[in-house]
Amino acid sequence: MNITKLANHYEDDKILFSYNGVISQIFVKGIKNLINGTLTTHNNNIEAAILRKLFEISVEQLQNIMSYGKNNIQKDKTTYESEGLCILGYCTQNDKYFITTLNHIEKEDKEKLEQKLTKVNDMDSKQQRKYLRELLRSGVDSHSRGAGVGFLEIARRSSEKLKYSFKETTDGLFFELTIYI
Amino acid sequence: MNNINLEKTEHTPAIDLDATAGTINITGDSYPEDSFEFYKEIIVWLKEYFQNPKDTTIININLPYMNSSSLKVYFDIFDIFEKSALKGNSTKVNWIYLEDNDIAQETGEDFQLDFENLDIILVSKEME
Repeated sequence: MNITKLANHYEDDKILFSYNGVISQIFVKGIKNLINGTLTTHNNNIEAAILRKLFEISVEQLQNIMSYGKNNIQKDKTTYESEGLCILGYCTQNDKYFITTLNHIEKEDKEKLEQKLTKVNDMDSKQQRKYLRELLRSGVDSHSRGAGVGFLEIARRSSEKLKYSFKETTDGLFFELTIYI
Repeated sequence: MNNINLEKTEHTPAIDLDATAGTINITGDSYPEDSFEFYKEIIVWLKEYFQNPKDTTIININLPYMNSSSLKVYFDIFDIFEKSALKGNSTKVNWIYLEDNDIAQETGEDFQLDFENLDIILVSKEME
């Protein structure tokens, strides 16, 4: 199905680039240049700190899709890829840039995702920083993947709460995440 | 033991581990897909080196960006540094960041809080 149609667009959002396809580390390695090039074309005076945060957030979102997306494909021992949508845009309403990602997820992952996202959104930045340290401390030698550290790392760079939604379709369940800077 | 010298790539930092000089230098973004796999040989080297380190080990780390799995790995790496410091080995860490990079600064501050037995100095560099 064409998942581009599932993404929540608003009349006054300006889409600066949109990618719908296989997300792999090769795409992630190129995202910094893609973001810097696209945004300096849109606004030549954009702050370096905004560019950096958009890059950092997009890496985390894309690598989440690679690791946890439904139907992700394992290419070798440590390499995964998965299909997804990635949009970089500018929202005139709140004068902010945003990154939206959307991907197919397992039905049973919805609850886990919701719990983690609600927990992160319910905390202020000080609490998030403290919770991040707790998670890191508890994880020494465990190497578990995705204990919520990723969402905390996204949240501390974001200027608003993490905006997310789940979309039920006849083709399955999709997860959309939008981060504003 | 052998030294390790890895060149910087788009998604991994330059890493220079020198057992003869007692220096550890790491510079660049770190966001490989599988950080535990990428840093495996680094961790093995560090564990071996700190069994019999130089009188003083100087560690310079400049990581403008780490993805969350690299952050977990560096937490483990700082644990190795601190264990060595607790054994009485002089282990000095310079945490280097550009002055406008508030996230890198905060990460350094958090490492100071979590590894209080380790000598970590925050070094803010001016923008070029």
